[in-house]
Order: sequence, then structure tokens, then C-alpha cells
Amino acid sequence: MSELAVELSNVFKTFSASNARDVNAVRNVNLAIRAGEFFTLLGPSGCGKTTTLRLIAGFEQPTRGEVRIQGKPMNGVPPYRRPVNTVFQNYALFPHLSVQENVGFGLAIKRVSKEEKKKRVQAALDLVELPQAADRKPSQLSGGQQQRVALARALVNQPAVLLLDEPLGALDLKLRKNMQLELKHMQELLKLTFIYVTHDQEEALTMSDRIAVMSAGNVLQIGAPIEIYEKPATRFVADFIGETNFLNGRVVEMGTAMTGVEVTGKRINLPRQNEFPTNSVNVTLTVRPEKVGISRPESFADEAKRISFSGVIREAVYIGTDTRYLVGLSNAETLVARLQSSPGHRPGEYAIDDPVIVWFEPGDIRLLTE
Amino acid sequence: MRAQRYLSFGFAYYLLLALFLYLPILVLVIFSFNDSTLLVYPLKGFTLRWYSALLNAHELLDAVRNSVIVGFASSFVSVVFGAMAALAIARFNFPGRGFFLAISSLPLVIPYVVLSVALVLLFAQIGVPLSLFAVGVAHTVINIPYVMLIVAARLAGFEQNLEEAAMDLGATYWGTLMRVTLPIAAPALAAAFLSSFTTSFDEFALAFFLTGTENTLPVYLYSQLRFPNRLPLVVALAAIIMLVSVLLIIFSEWLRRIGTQTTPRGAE
Repeated sequence: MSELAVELSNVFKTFSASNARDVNAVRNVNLAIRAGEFFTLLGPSGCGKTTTLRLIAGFEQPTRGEVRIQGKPMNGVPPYRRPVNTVFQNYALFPHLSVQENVGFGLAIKRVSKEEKKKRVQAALDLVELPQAADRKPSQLSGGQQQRVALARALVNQPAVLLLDEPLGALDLKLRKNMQLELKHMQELLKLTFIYVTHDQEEALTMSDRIAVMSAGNVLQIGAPIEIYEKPATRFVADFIGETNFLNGRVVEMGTAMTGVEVTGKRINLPRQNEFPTNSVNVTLTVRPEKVGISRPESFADEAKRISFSGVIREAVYIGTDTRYLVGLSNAETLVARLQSSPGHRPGEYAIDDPVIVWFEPGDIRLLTE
Repeated sequence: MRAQRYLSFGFAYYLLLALFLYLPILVLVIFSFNDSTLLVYPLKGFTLRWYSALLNAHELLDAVRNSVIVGFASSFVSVVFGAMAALAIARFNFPGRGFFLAISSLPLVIPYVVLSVALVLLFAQIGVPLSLFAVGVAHTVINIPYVMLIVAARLAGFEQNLEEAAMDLGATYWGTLMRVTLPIAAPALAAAFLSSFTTSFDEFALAFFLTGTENTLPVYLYSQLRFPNRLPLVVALAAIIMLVSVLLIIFSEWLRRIGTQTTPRGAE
């Protein structure tokens, strides 16, 4: 497992635009993707995730830096000599070939014998649960079926790494959810390295072993889904993955185990997280809405370590299992809290303009500088 | 009510237009069966003798043969060069691409008479004799832009990542061209060939200036107009050519259509 499937070292990709303004699609990206890993490149459109995938596939060459696959340098190596296969966003099935000719395309080029080709094509179609579709044309298949053919066409070549460029983007929600699980199972079954590009954070969290969050050509954070969600490294990551709250603060003291922060005019102590210069550094505090509690002022138990602010309910939106409250704080900042409906909290428990105490545990707050 | 009036006006206009376009052709076909050497009304009676006389008109058949040879050869060369140019334009973003596109389309707007004179001068300079070969070269020149535009439109119409997919699956540049690009572009190539052929087949000015002793069909027909008694024969032949041209155009249009319909639906 420790063997590296794909490595990118200090990779830059610059496209020269016609109006003489160069576009830095990928800036100094470093990735070390392990063999057998489900690795996701996540980010909004234009963040460089697809370009990164194309650099690995060989459709683009890096402007600077090095791409290695299974330890071998790949700079200058064309796509047809790389041990990777791609599932394209719009499937890119050959319209003039039948399903089995599509799936057998790679094997035909490698001059695999007829019997073996037939066997492997059928096995691949069985794997994607389309055993009956062999003689049909891609145009006769539904979007979901085309997607499976594209997957079979890539897998049949037994690539070292499978590259998937938003493969589920064109499917409807229900089908997409099913395919997410199926893809994940397939990846575990085949013990293949998957590099998966998506802009859907939920999809990334569900499927990935590790996620690299990208923005504007940079990799901002690499980590397991739980790290990315619970310990976002930057404001962008916190904001892009799920919903979150931001509060402005100022570091006023750096202790050995704690960091003193002033926020909404109140001094609070948090567990030490990062190195900050002691004096007056502006920081952003972030806390997830589901980590925020609400109590009435008269029944709030001010436990020693809890951090609490007084506020007023501004908005209450009932969304089934949860109610989403917007709470205004004393300094005009707001916090969103998501409270699950439970015996302790019934929907409609707090009404607009109710004075409340919002509180959270110090460990649920992240301090961010950028 | 108002809409209906406009509609009937539109229909009348359309009818007039169609009449204007097709009446001469209809007259041609009618006279090809008329039993008289004079092309005047009233009609004299039905005959097939002009058609049967065609079979023995050796000079005329030679001219048809020459036209077919020139048509095939020039269309073939046009398709090869035009398709290569189309690939370059549709797939590569090279410096001077716009300029290249502009000058390759120039033969579309230069009057053939002007081009004829220019080619006569050029061929005289470089020692190419006036011949069917010279006509073929000229027809290749005028057909390349048509081929280029037809094929480039087709190449632009299908997803470029089909070619990336082929390379991803192990096909080299040439493998991709042979297995994916050309097969998908095949209907457009055939359509381009047929439209080149029809252009060459009825082109007059270039052939008139550039041919030597061997006439192409349009040139031969023109020379026969001086002999009134041969006129019905010419009319019969013209009717046949009309029919064949129409069939070829319909066929090439059909090819072009099925060509554009094979892109898979699904993704977006």
C-alpha cells in the first residue's frame, strides 16, 4: 500500500491565451497518490482539477515540474504510452462503433487475440452489469448505460490507475447516488487506484480515501474526508465543504497549550492549534452549524469550558429532520445553528426575536488565517 | 385572419419561386421527348428517338467520358487535400490559421473566368499544355475550399475528446485518425466528393479555356448549339444529366445528414 501510484512534483501548467494573458491553470501542485487509493480532486469549476487529471492522462504536458506514474517519469510520454485509462465527463463513446467494439477498442489496438478479447469484453460488461448491450450502438443507450460502457471500456485494459473526470455529472440525483456506491465497491473489489475529479463535495466525502481541495490552480489541503471537514486548513476549504460559520477574531495571547482570542468583544481560550505571532493577529474562527447549541438564557448551564455568546433568533427555517436558526450576535455578526429535532428540541421551540445563548465546545472551533 | 393572409401570401410567393426555378427544367424534359428538330410549340408528338440517337453520338459520348474522368480525378484529389486542410483547421491552433482559412477560401469568390485567364497564363509559363489534365488541376483548385468547409464543419461537430479517448486507449495519432476521425467523418468525405464531382461535371469557363482538343461535356454542348439539327440530342442529354445531378445532390445531402446524426445523445 505504501507504493506510490502517481506523483506530481512542483507541477505548473500555464496556458497562453490569445489575448496575451497567460492562464495559470495549475500552480505548484504536489501530490503523492498511493496505490489502491480512491483519491479525489475537489474544487469549483476552473480550479485546475481537470487540468491536473489531464496532466496525469498525458493530454497536457506540464509547463514545469514532473509527473511520475508508478515511479516512472512521464514528462513527454504521450497518452497512448501511459498505464492509465480515463472515463470522460461526457463518456466520449465512439458513435460509429457498437458497445462491444467500444469496450474492445483498447484490446484491438494491443492486438489481443480474438477469443481473449471477446472474453475480456464480456467480463467487463458483466462487471458494469450491462451483459446484454454488446451489439447496440451508444446512441441507443440511456445516459446511465453509456456511463457504464465508458467505465467498462477503461477497466478492460487493466490500467494501473483509473482517471475519472466528473463521470457522474450528467446523471440524475438518484442514479448518481447509486453509482457512487457502485464505483466505490468496484474500486475496493479491483484494488485499483482511482483518481476522481468532482465539484460535488458530498460525492467527494462519500467516496474518497483522501481528498485534495483545489482552488485557483492551488492545492489547499490534502486529507481524509474527516480531516477536510473537521479540520479545514483555510477559509476556502471550510466554506467549500459543507456549511460553516465565520467569526472575526484577534489573537491576544499565545500560551503553551492554548490560544487566547478576542471575538465579538469577548476573550475566549481555545486549544492551541497553530503558531501565531502573539500580538493582534486577525484570524477567522470557523464552527460548523451542527456544532452550535442554543439555550434559553434562564436555562443555560454555563459550564466552565463552553464558549457562549448571547444573541437573538433572527430566522428559523424548518427543514424536516433539522431546524436551521440564524442567530444575531451583539456585534451584528451572525451564526447559523442546525438543531436536530429530538425530545430536547422540538421544531418551533425558538421563535424569531427570542433572546438566546449560543454555545459550542472550544475543540469544535478552527482558527484560520487565510 | 391576418396570420392566415400572410401565410397564403407566403405560399403564393413560394409557388412562384419554385415555378421560376423548375419551369425551364420541365420545358427541357418535355422537349427531349418532342418529335421535331425545332424547339417550338406546339409539340409534335412523343418520341424516344433523341435518346436512342445519343447512343451513336460518339463525339458526345467521348465528351461525357472526359467529363467523368476529370470529375473523378479532380474530386478525389480535392477530397484528399481538402480533408487534410480541414483537419489542420479544425484540430490545430497554428499561427496564421485565420489567414490560411481566408486564402484557402479565395477560389470561392474569384470569378471562374478570371481564374481561367490566370491559369492559362500560369500553365503557359510552366509548360503545362492545354489539356484535360489542366482542366482537372483547375477543378481541383476550385473544389478544395468546398471540401474543406464541408469536412471542417463535420470535424467541428463531433466531440474532440473522442480522439483523446482513442489515444487514452492506446491508439497513436495515425491509429486515431484511421479508427476514429476518418470513419466518423466518412459521410462528410463522401458528400464532399459528390458535390465536387457535380461542380466539375458542369463547370464551363475553366474547361473552355484550359482544355485542348478533348472537350468536356459542357464545352461540347456549347459547341453543338451552332448546329440546329443537333439541338434535340443536346436537350435529351441535358435532361439525363439533370436527373443524375439531382440524384447525386440528394444522395450527398442524405449522406451529410446521416453523418451529423450519429453523435450519441446523453451527456448534456
